Amino acid sequence: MDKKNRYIIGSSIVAIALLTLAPYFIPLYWMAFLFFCFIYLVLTEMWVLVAGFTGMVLLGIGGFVGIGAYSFVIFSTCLNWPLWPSLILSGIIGVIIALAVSSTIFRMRGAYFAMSTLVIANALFAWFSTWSYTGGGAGIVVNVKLPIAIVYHIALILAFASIIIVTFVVRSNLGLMLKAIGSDEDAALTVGVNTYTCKLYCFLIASFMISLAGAIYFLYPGFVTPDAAFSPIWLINTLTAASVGGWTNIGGAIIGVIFIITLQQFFYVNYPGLSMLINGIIIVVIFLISPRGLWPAIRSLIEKRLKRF
Amino acid sequence: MKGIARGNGMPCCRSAITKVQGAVIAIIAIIIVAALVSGIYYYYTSIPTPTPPPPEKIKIGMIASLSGGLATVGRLQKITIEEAVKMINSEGGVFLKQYQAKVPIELIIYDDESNPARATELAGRLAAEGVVAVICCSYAHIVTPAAKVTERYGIPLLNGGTPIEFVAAAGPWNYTWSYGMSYKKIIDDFLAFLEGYKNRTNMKFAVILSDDIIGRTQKTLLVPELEKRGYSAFVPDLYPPGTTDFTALITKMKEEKCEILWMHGTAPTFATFWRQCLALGYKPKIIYQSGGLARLEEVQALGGDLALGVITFLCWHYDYPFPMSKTFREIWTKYLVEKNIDLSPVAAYYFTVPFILKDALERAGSLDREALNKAIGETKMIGAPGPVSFDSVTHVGTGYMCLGQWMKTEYGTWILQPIWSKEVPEVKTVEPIFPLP
Amino acid sequence: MAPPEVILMGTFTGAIYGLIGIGLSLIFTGIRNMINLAHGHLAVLAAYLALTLSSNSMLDPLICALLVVPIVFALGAIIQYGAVNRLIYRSPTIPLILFAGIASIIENVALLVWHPDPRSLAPLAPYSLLTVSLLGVRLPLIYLVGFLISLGSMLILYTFLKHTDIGRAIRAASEDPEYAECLGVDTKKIYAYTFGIGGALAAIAGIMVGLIYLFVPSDGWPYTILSFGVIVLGGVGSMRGAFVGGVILGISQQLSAYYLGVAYQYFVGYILILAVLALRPQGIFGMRV
Repeated sequence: MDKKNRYIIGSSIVAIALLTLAPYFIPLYWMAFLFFCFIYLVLTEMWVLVAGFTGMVLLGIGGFVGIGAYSFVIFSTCLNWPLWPSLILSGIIGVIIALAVSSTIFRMRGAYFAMSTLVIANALFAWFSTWSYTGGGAGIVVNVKLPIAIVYHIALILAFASIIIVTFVVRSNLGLMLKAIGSDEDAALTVGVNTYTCKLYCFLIASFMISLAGAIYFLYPGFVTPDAAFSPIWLINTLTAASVGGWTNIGGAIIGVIFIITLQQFFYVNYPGLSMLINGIIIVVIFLISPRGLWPAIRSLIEKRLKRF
Repeated sequence: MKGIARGNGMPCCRSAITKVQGAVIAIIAIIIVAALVSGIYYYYTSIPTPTPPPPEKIKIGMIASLSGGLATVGRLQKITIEEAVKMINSEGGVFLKQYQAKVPIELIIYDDESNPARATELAGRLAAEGVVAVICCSYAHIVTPAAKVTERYGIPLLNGGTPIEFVAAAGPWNYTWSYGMSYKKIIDDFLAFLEGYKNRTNMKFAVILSDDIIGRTQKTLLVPELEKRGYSAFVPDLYPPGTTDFTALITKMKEEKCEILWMHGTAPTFATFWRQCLALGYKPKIIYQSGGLARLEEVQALGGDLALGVITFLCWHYDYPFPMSKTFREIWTKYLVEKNIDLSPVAAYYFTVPFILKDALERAGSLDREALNKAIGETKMIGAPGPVSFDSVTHVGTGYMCLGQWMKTEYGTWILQPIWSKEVPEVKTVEPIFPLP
Repeated sequence: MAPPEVILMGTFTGAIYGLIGIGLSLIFTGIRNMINLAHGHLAVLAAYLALTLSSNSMLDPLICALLVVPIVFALGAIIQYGAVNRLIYRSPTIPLILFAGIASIIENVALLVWHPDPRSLAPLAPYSLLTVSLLGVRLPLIYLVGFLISLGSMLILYTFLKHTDIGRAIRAASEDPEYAECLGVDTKKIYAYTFGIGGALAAIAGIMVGLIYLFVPSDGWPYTILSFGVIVLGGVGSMRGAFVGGVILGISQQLSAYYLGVAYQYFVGYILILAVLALRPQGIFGMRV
C-alpha cells in the first residue's frame, strides 16, 4: 500500500503547489474556472460522504448553500464584521440549523428523510425571499472587497480540506460505522452502532463545509439573491458530478467536478438553455448503465484489461 | 488459475491496483499541466500588442437572457440591438480617429439563461475575448453581478432600459453606466396626473408590489409620496414573485374599499391578479400597472376586456419628435406589421444603447477602454426616448416619459393611448377613461 | 374570524392538493416506499399538454384533460417499467436520484418547448370568469369545479381500488409484494399501473391548478413538496388522510396569507409540515412512517 500512498501524496503535493501558484500566471478567466471547480468539489465530496457512504440523500443541499451565503451576508455586510469571523460563523450557522432539524429528520428513513431536507431548504428559501433585513426578493450586495486571488485561495483551501476530511472520516472508525449504516441501517443498529450519533456527526461536518462553500461562492459575483442561493441547480450539478465520479469515490469526485465545470464553461455556452437538461439526462443514463457511477465502471474496465497482462 | 492466485493473496492484484493508480495520477497530472499550459498560452495571446493594426471589427459583447424566465424581454433586446448595430454598420461603422477609418461593430451575444451565475461567467468570458465594451440590458439581479466582474477587468458596461434607481444603489461604479427608466419619475408622473382626479375618489390607495428589486425600490419611493399628498394607503407585505393566489389580499382590499390601485407585477401575474379581483367582485376606480403592460400580446393574453382602462407608463411613444425616435418608429412599425412582434416602448432604450457606444467611441477616437469609459461619462446626445447624459456620481441617466391607458378603437383593436405627457408636448393625449367601466 | 371567503377558497384548493397528495401516497404505498420526486413535474407537464391541446383544438381544457390524463398515465407507466423497476429492489433511496434526474429532464424540456413565461389555462375556458354564490359568499366558479372534480376523482379511485381486479392486485402488491408474486401477481406490471395511476391523479390536479392559477416549468418541485406535505399531514396510505391533509394545507395557506401577508403563505405551510414531522410523523390518519 505504500507505493499507492506515495503516488497519491506526491501527486497531491505537486497539484496543490501548481494550483496555489496559479493565480500569478494564469488569466482571470481560468482562475474563475478553477474557483467553480473548488466550490463544487466541496459539495460533491460532502455528497459522497453523506449520501454515498451513509445513505442520507441530502436533497436539500441547496438549503445549506443558501444559508451559508446569507449568514455570510448578514455578518459581513449587515453587521459589518470582519471577513474571517464572518466566514467561520456562516459555517457554524449551517451546523446550528443542521442540529436543530436533526432530531426531527433522523427519525425518518430513506425517502422521507430526503424529502424533509427538501422541505427545510424550501422553507429557508421562502423565508429569505421575504426577509427585508437581507433585501428580500431583491437580493443584497456583498460588501466585501477582496482581490480575486484571495477568494481563489480560500476556495482552494476549502476544497483541499474537504478531500482530507472525507478521506480521514471514511478511513476512521466513524467511517466504518457510516458505511455500515449506508448498507443496512437496521443491521447496523443490531450490531450496536449508535446510528443516531454517527449520522449526526456526518451531517454536521457536511453542513459546515457546504455552508462555507456557499458563503465563499458568493464572494465572486458579489451579489446574493434567494433564487441563486437556494437554486435547485446546486443539487442537479452535484448529482451529475457525483454520478460521473462515483457515489462513493473520493478521488472520482475530482473527475466528476472537472467534467461538469468543463461542460458548463465550454459546451453549454454554445447551447444555452440545455445545460440542466443534459445534466438530467447524464444522471439518468449513468444511473441506468452503472448505478455505482461512471468513473468506478471505467476503472473496473481498466482493471480488467490490466489483469489480462 | 487466476482465481486461485487471487484467493491466495495479494501479489497479482496489488500490481494491478498500482498500475491503475499510476494511470489515474498520470491522467490528472496531464490534465492539470495541459490546463495551465493552455491557460498561459491563451493569456499571452489575448494581451493586445502595443501598436495594434487597425482592427477589422470593433468587438462589443452582449449578455442577454435568451432563455429562462426573462427570455421574452431578452429576445426583444437582441432583436432591437442587432437592428441598431446593423444600421451603424450599414454606414460603414464607427469612425475612429486613431485609424482615420470607419470600423464596423461585431456584436458577440451570449445567453445568460436568466441566471446571474451564468451572467458572471459570461462577463469573464467576454473579457477573455478582448471586447471593448459590454452591453447588458437585464434587470439588476443579473446585471449587477455581471457588472461587478466587468468592473474588475476595467471594461465599460452599458445597461439600458431598466429601472435606474437600483443600478445606482448597487454602485459606486467606475465602468458601468445605466440609461433607463426612473421610477421616481414614473411615480411623480402618475401622482401628478392623479391630482386632477383625486377629488372624485375616496383618496384610498392600495399598493400591491412584488418582492424583487423593482418592488422594493417602488415601496421606498412611493409610500412617502402618498403620505405627503394626503392619500391613505393600504400597503400589505410585498408578495413573493411567483405568487398565484391573491384572494386573501383582494379580500382585504375590498374591506378597506380602496379606490385607487397601484400594482406591480409581470404581465401574467397581473393577469391572474386582475382576474381574481374581478371574480371576487373588487373593482377600483383607477388602476395603474407599473410592471409595464405595454405589449399587445400581453393585453391579448389577458382575454376579454380585462385590460380596458389599465394605466401604465410609456417610456416612448411614436409621436416623440427626435430623429432617433423616428428611426426607431420605423423599425417598431416594421416588426409589428410584418412579423407581428411588438417590440414594446422600452425597446427605444435598447435601440439607443449601441448609438451611445458609437458616439462615445467616436469621441474617444480609439478602442482604449479607459478613453471609451471617460467618453461615455461625457455623453450629451439625443436618443430615441429623449436626451442622453449620465450623472457623474451615480452613472445613470433617463429619458422622457408619459402615461398611457389601454383602450379599444372603434374597430375593436387594443391601443395604448397616451393620457398624460408633460415632458413631450408633441405627444397627442386623449381623455382618459375614469372611473373604470 | 376570517371572512368565509378565505376559508372556503382554502377548502376548495385544499381538495386539489389532496388529489395530488393521494397520487404520491399511492405510489409510496404501492411501490415499496418509493417517493416519486418527479410527481409535481408530472402535474405541471399535464397542464402544459392541456394548454397546447386546448389552444390548438379550441376545445375546453377539461375536455382536453380526457386525452392528457391517459398520456401522463402512459408516461408514468413507461418510466416505472423501463427505468425504475430495475432499481427498486435495492433500496427506496436509490430511485430518488433517478427521479431527480427525470424531474430535471421534464422541467427543462418544458422550458425549451413552452418557454418560461407563466401560462394559464384560464383564458381558454370561457367559464373561468363566472362566479357563484355559495353560503352567502361570492366565489369564482372555477374553484368549485376544481373541488368537485377532485372529489370525484378520489371516489373513482376508491371504487377502482376496492372493486376491480387490478385495484386489488395493486393493494396486494403494496402490502406484501413477495406474497403477491406467489399468488401470481406480476408485480412489475402492477407497479407500472400504480405509478401510471399516481401520475394520472397528479395530471388531473395539475390541470385544475392550471385553470385556476398560473404555472411555470419550475413549479414542479414546489408541487412535489406540496404533495409530500399533504401525505405528511394526513398520513400515508389513507385517502381520507390525504383529503384532510390537503384541506388543512389549503386553509392554512389562505389564512396565513390573510393574516400574515401573502409573503408568508408558503413559509407557514413548510413550517406546518416540519412541525407535524417533528411531533406526529405518521400524520393524522397514518399507519406507518
